[in-house]
Amino acid sequence: MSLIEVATVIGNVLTQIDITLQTPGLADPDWQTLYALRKHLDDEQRDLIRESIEEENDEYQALTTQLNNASAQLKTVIGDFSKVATTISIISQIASYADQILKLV
Amino acid sequence: MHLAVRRRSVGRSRQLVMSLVFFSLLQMGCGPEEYQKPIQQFQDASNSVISTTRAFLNNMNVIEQNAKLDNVVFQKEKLDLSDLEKIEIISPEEIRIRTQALDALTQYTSNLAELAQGKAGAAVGDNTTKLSSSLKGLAEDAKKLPAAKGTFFDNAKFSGIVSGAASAIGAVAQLIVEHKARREIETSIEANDAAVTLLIQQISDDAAGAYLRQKSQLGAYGDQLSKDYQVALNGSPDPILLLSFAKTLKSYRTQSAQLTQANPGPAIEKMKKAHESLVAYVKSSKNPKTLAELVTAVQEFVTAAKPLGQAVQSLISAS
Repeated sequence: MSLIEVATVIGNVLTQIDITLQTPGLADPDWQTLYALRKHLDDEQRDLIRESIEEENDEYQALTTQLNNASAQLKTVIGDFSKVATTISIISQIASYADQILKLV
Repeated sequence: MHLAVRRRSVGRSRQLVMSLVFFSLLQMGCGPEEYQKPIQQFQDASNSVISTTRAFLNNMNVIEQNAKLDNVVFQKEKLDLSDLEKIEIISPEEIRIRTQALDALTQYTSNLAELAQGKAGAAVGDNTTKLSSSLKGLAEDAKKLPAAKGTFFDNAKFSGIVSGAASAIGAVAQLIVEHKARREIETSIEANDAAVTLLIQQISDDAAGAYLRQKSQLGAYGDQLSKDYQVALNGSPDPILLLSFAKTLKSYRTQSAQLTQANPGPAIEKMKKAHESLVAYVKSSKNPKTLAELVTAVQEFVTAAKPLGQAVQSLISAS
């Protein structure tokens, strides 16, 4: 998986967050938390696009697998306002994987 | 003994005549018009992708400046317009190098098309040599650009990839100039093509990166608009203000739709596939089947490139 593909996965997560943030009904503290996470992921995406990495690196491959799994998991809960805490937890995990990837570059 | 040699000689002559007839029939099956049409379409679609990529990259600074402006207003912070002008994530030089490299690749593909027709003349050789020199110059220019950390694109990596493509095209050019056998030139084209497609892939990745950033910025703008609207509703909303929101939201929706159409990444990806099909065609026996594969790849590229121009122009005027 290339870095641009990782940035694309982050982009898809951002799009899902945007849909949630633009849907009425989210409590203000949750909205603010999600918006802050969005800002963090946006910064990570910008950094990922301008970096290079050895794609065969085992740690990198493990992280991209975890990132993809978390992204797939997010799709099952995002949009369900009764599962906002889970949504926030998964997005935090995604941001953490992206942070770890950026440390490898 | 003499009779046996004579018989073998006659047999070889017959084989040669049969081969020539077979080759001529194949050529009739994929005549110049059938071949020229996809090549012309490839060139037209490439020109569209180059101008779109240039416009798209040019718009990136405006998008980032607008994102900053939106955020300042959303957070109700102090506004300094002169600060916005200082935001430049891609320089005119970075845009020039990328679009000129794409242009050189398009010209190289056109030269391959000439070669596939058996037109390995001096003009094609000279032009391919010039393209190689031009790419070498671009690789040197990219080397002089700021390092990756301070910029949006990894210029050092780009320089290395352009340099590799320049050497690959230079190797092909050398064989053409030296009037080497057609088979040898075709083998060299195929052997060197990985470096050329790597450059197309890099430009595709850069364009995809630029698109992702524009998409993210626009998404954040939508979030801010939605939140502001909710805040306004929770107070005592002024009907004029709400109408103003409606107008802004309509503009946002239009921009979102245009952005999807304006993504140059898929078109460059199809351009890469069309280029690969042309290289496969050059190396093939050039029969109707390989021509059909080339035509299909070019058609897919043309289809992907078609909506780009209008969408990018609309997007830029709406920014």
